[in-house]
Amino acid sequence: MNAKPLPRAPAEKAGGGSAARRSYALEQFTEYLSGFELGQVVDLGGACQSNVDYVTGMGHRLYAEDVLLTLAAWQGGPAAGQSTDTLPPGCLEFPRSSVHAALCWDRLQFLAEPATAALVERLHRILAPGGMLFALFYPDQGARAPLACRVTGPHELQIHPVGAVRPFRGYSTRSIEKMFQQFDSLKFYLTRENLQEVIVRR
Amino acid sequence: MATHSTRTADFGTVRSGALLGKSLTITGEIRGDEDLVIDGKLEGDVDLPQHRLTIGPSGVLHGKIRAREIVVYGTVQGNLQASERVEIKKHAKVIGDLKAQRPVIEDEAYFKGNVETVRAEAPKTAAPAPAGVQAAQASAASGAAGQPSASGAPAASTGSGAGGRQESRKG
Repeated sequence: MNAKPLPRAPAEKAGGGSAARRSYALEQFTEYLSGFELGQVVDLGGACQSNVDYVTGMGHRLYAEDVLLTLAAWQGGPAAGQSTDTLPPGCLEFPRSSVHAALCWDRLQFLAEPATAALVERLHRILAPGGMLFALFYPDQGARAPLACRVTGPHELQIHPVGAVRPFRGYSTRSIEKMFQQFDSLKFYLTRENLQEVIVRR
Repeated sequence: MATHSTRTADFGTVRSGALLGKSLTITGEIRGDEDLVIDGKLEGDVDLPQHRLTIGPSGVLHGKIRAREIVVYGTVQGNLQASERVEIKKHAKVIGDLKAQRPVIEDEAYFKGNVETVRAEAPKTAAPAPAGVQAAQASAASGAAGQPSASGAPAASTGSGAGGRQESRKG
């Protein structure tokens, strides 16, 4: 049986795609990261050059992994049916409190609910007290391509959809608060694209 | 049969050196004093501290790499350490930690692992970290491969910068 191919997001224009815009959440994230050095940052959106430069340029180490690809590979792999775990082995297996910041972008929205809960639980475990997490959420639900998010300056973010369109769940402010209830505080910034930028403190 | 010069053209700036061809599979360690292009399969480490290693589009390497420059078009599973630059090209796949002065990851490359830049000058001294992060940072510095041990530092209070539409605070 052949599955119908999913529609894809419009190809990124050569040289950049969408224009960069100011991000108040990123501004806060940058301010936090610039306060110390030799930290560990995780990026759940995968590696891209601008984000590598952004994090390593401030003297930190970056761990990059696209959790959507990791989960898709695991769920489609031979071991998936033999495990009761909601996250693949080795996914963000950092020691407790050893990570200082996490860039989740919009990835949490595209995961099934058990995987989202497990991932948030793992982030809570690996983030150091006082550590910071940056995530994006659309309030509605439907189907979109995940966002490629590039840091183009200390306060500037360029986002554009890439890859296959996938269903995602909408999160209200209340449901985001519930998702991060173990964490210490949340701060919300609503953008022009109707995205909620969320800064979470461990 | 493809000649070395044909492959040289495929990989851009490679001028000379050894070639492990597509049909070759090697298990073992490679050390050397010349540039190397791997377009076959290698199970083992590569150590070319003064030279350039290129993993061609058909190249698959499972092992650690240490070289002056590393350019990956194919697949690598293992840590990469370069005294100058590492380039992970479009459609390449790398799973492992990357340490270089200039790491370059092209769009549409798959990379999973840690990226750390190595600076030519003496390493910096860590500045004071935010409360709660300090203990974890100390253990991170002493931990193996960025996997520091757990820290039971107390929770820190959170910031309250301007510009937030809404803030939720517990406790």
